[in-house]
Amino acid sequence: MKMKRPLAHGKDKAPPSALDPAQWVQLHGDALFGFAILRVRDREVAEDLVQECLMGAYEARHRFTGEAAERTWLTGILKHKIIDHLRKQSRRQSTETLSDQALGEAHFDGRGHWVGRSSTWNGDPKALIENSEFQATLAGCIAALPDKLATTFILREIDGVESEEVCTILGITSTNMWARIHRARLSLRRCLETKWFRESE
Amino acid sequence: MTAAAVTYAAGDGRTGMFEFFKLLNARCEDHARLISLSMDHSLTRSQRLAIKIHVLYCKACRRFKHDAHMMRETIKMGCGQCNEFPKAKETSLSPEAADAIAASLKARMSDDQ
Repeated sequence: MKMKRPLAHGKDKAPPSALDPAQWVQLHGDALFGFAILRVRDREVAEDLVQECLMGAYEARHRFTGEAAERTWLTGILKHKIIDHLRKQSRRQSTETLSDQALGEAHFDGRGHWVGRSSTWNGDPKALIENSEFQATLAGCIAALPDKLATTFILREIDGVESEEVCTILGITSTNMWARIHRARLSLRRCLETKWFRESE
Repeated sequence: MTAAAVTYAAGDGRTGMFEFFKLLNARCEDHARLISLSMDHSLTRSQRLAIKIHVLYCKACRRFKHDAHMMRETIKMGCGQCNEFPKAKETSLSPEAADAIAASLKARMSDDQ
């Protein structure tokens, strides 16, 4: 796994200064829940994962180095719980075929030409992402993606998991993954176009 | 390029000049797929060349290429809000779940005391 594992290092550092397990649910519960539900798309599962995360974090509390903020540390643990969950889920599901490619809205007509006109995207990515309204719009568009597309896209593009790792976690072929990411891109682009770039012109 | 990528990109697995000429006539839909693929996987030389030529005259694909890269770059800058479920939808633990989790944590903590 290529992701940083916050649990794995720094046992020899000074004892944690700022962990306050009694306050975790109140301070971080909703944020962790939001992080989880965006990725697993099921309220009950997300709530279970938050519980697993906090219980696990409590057991591992002596490994908290204070290098990261409490929230960041907990989120790192949650990330691993989510990936474990997705992995188990993919084992339960039968292997998918390309057929889930057929779902989703049309971006091309029968002759393979683009449908609809696109507005021009301009602006600097840095300036865009610093705009909290844009972030909210982007987050909304990601949340609106169909479940499978969202999970795949988030793992790859937001969590930065390597391609092969994404395939293993989700139990899909690379062909399937490329198709999902491509469709996610097409959908996100259309969503941002309607909700952001067109309006801001 | 891996076999899987060749099949995904070209359909019939042929590469080289044949692929190049075929791609020159390919539809925007196929070019868009290749553009996306190129962001995750290396393309063959003829695929890269075919895209280059296609986007010279196809504004829609040129825009897609630009937008897809811009989207990736923007997201890479770190979208904090993308890690929260948008406010309008389910965004918080249900009170029952919050209580249950707090209770199990508390129980676990009192074991230690």
